[in-house]
Amino acid sequence: MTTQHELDRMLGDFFLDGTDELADRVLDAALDQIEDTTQRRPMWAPRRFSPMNLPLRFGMAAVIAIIAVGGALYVFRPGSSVGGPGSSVPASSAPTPAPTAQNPLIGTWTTGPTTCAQQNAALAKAGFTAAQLQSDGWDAATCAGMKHGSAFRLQFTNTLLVFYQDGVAGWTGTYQAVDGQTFKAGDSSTLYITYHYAIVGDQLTIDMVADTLPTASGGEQLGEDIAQTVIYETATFTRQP
Amino acid sequence: MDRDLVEQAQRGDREAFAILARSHGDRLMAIAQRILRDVGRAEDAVQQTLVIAWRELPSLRDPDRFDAWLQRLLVNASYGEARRSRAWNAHIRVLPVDGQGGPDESLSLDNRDRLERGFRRLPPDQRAMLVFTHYLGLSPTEIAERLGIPVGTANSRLHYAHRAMRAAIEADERTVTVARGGSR
Repeated sequence: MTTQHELDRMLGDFFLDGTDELADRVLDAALDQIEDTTQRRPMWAPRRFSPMNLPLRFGMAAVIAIIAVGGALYVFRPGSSVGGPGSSVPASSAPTPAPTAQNPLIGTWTTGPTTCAQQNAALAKAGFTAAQLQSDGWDAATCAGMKHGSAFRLQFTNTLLVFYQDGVAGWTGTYQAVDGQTFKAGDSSTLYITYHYAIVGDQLTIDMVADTLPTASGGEQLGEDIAQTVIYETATFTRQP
Repeated sequence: MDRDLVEQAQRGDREAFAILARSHGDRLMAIAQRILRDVGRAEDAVQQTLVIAWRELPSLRDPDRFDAWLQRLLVNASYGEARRSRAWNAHIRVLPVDGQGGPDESLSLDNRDRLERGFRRLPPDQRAMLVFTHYLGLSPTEIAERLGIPVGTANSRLHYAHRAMRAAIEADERTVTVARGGSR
């Protein structure tokens, strides 16, 4: 019988042997190929590096926002005072069950397809002014190309948070539940976004309350806030079986 | 330094990316070769990884995570190579090790052949777990984060990989015992 210790030692020795050098011809071939390869700018590209256009902001916000996720339920919560982006769920009024050993966030949460009318309504409810929307280039008729409707999905594991838009994985990050109504998320061990959340039945409300990632400009932040509101406050997130 | 280079490369600076590729290439090759057990396929996986990394670099939000992100791309590329390869089935004839006196001198020839055979029978995701665990020295939690999989999945893959390797070694031992017994 091979013990675990013996197996560990054998495998450690086994992997010591092997190639440890990449041939120059391989590197050169890759670099040659890159010369003809255009970088892809995904919609969820990091805001601090990406050119700003509205659809892009949507993606970025979706990322950053891992975020404000289920703002919509918050909107519908009796007595809630939905403000603009960055508003928080008052800790004392959040209908959140007491923390349990099992992290209640774990699982998959989705919205259904959202319409342009719903998105405009969410923006209006969140208190964005016409001037703000105009300065950001928001077109109420087309909803920045989102008119066709976009469905969003969040997948929480023990430590990972994955965001999907229309079934496409857009971002994978890490998160940590701080208590029964707060979690933090980020790209790695740096959890720079803080959220408050509330779960009622199979409905999840998340509200971003702090984002310490430096932003490029106020205008960029406004675009993200608008996008986050549209994405996360247009429809509710429902737990999936 | 990497962070600055990554940020430059994210903005389209090919020279910065070339520096990154040169500094990370050997490590990528070492990992790929250990997963794939084939230098040619490992080179293909590394080349593919570098091209994909360049193309997708703007999507990397945290430049400090470049190394881990690159390794994730490499593992995915290795999976692709594995799917294209027939070398994953158990019909591979493992060439005898010629005992070049490398760093694994403590590992007997028999054991090394057994490990090689057992390893080649593993699915690529379990191979990657073993390489990240026993070559890179990462914990399942660290591997899970690096590969973008749940910790439970990482633990499970490692468990099954260890079990399969142990079974392969012990099955070989039994085969040898039977063979020797039959020759008497």
